[in-house]
Amino acid sequence: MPALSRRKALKTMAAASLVPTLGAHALPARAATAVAPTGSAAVASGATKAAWSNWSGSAKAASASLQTPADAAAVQQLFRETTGVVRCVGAGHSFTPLVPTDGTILSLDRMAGLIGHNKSTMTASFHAGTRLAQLSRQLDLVGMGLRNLPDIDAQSFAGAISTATHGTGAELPALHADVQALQIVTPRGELLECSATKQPDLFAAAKVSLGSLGVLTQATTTVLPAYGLQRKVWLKPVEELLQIAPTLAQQHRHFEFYYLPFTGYAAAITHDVYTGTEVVHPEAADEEMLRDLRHLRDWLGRFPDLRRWVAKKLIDPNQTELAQDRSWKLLSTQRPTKFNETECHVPRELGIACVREIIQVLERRNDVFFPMEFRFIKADDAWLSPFYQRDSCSIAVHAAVGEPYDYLVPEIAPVFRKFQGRPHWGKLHGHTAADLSALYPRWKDFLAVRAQLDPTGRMLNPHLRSLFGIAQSA
Amino acid sequence: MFAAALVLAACSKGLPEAGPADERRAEAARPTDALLAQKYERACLTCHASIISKAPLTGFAAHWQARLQQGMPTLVAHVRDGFQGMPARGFCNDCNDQDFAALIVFMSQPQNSKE
Repeated sequence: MPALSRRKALKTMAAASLVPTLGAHALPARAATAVAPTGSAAVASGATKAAWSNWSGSAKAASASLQTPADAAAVQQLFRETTGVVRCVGAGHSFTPLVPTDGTILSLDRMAGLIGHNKSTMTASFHAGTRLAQLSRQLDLVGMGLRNLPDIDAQSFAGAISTATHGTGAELPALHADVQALQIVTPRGELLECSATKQPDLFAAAKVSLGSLGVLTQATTTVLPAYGLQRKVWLKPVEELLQIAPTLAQQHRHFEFYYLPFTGYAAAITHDVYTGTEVVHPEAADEEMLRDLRHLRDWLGRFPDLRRWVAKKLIDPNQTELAQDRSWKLLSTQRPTKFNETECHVPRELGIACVREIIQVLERRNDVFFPMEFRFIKADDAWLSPFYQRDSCSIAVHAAVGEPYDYLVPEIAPVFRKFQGRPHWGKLHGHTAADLSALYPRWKDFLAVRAQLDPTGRMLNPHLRSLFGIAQSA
Repeated sequence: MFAAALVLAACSKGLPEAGPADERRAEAARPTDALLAQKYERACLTCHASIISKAPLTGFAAHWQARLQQGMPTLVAHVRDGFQGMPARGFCNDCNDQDFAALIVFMSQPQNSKE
């Protein structure tokens, strides 16, 4: 999802002022072939069943219970005194069914907050349920900050680590790569600690493990002295931006862009370290821009050439937005508009070629309006990291909740496969165990660690069994 | 021209808009009850101290007036079950309905501190 708060410049896309004159061309109501529910997404903890839904409504469950242990000992006790499947939930921002189980859903909400920090080693330890928004605030209070952040800050630290959540930056890896040590409760109820020097294989497996090895309870991460960033957002014809994107990624600490479908334009965004003290944080126009892109689609969707022509008339390519603030206040934000999403990570050298094809595929569908996101991520060494030993580019395609999204995997995934893409674990994808074993050099090693820690499959729901090629339980 | 049209659209609801000072007040406000403050900090603060989130801003009365008129049971149900941008249980899985009600009362109270 684009961090559209950055896009005051895109107010120039105020097609809402134009569309009434084009009312005769309105698209008919679309048949929503796979429309995510827009109704309540309830988690009702009770004596019988706990109904659960993820943020977008793409994954649901009727679980036996929702548990919120207060500490690691309570997690150990839960494993020792119960049977059945246990799946952890963070913010529910994964679109894949990582959480659903008819067993126990376990939330680490009560296990949140900064445990301690060390300014000599520049590390900080957190309870694993700490949401990134709270984590950033607490680090800031002690003069520290994470090296990078994803663009949504609701995730729990455990969830972000476990799914290889990432931001953008050619020299910046995903969050889990900065983790120095983990504490984990295994399905047998053991409390283990691991790091690069203490049980290194477990550490390499656990950093990105989809909640399949046990329950992460604490994490120690490398941090930086608190720092400010300066952001610049500008619009550019997409072809011109694709030409210079690799250079921009080298020149700036963070670079990403969003392609605005059927406009021919992309929004480029850079962040660089800012050492001044002046705060400039323009009011966000995220929702307005999304609304305008949607309106343009609603009224001119049947006429893509006219849609592009109108968009180009409305866009002012000379308008830019500048912002300066604490790093965490610029890198991450909230998302009022819910969406569903697929995302894949391709080898860096193939990124631009891949995104060209993705744009072509997207624009075969006149109903598409949601911006497509392109980011850079540095390689790391976690066994199930999509960035394992591979500098990558990340391409994310979204569909607003209430819009069809059943095309995301069948139409987009073939392009991702062609470019050796490794799917984001939390985003919709169609990769099978056979696909994944070919994409991840340490796949078998991970599965061996998993089998050792959880021989009875207490951490496995149907989705994980399918991913790992393990027979479904009876 | 188009930016102006957007501004007009935003004002058409007739409600005062929250600004940076309101956001700073929301960021600083905490419930007096320590346990409730913990829950607020780890769950509610993320969105309710942020204008970008479109959630009603803590302490900004104009955002709450119409909502409060719906009655507390309705607002609690919206939190518990999820409503529009609000995720089910508002990222507080250990909150009960009484907690939700207390948090709503706190967030909807005007913050009178001056900068």
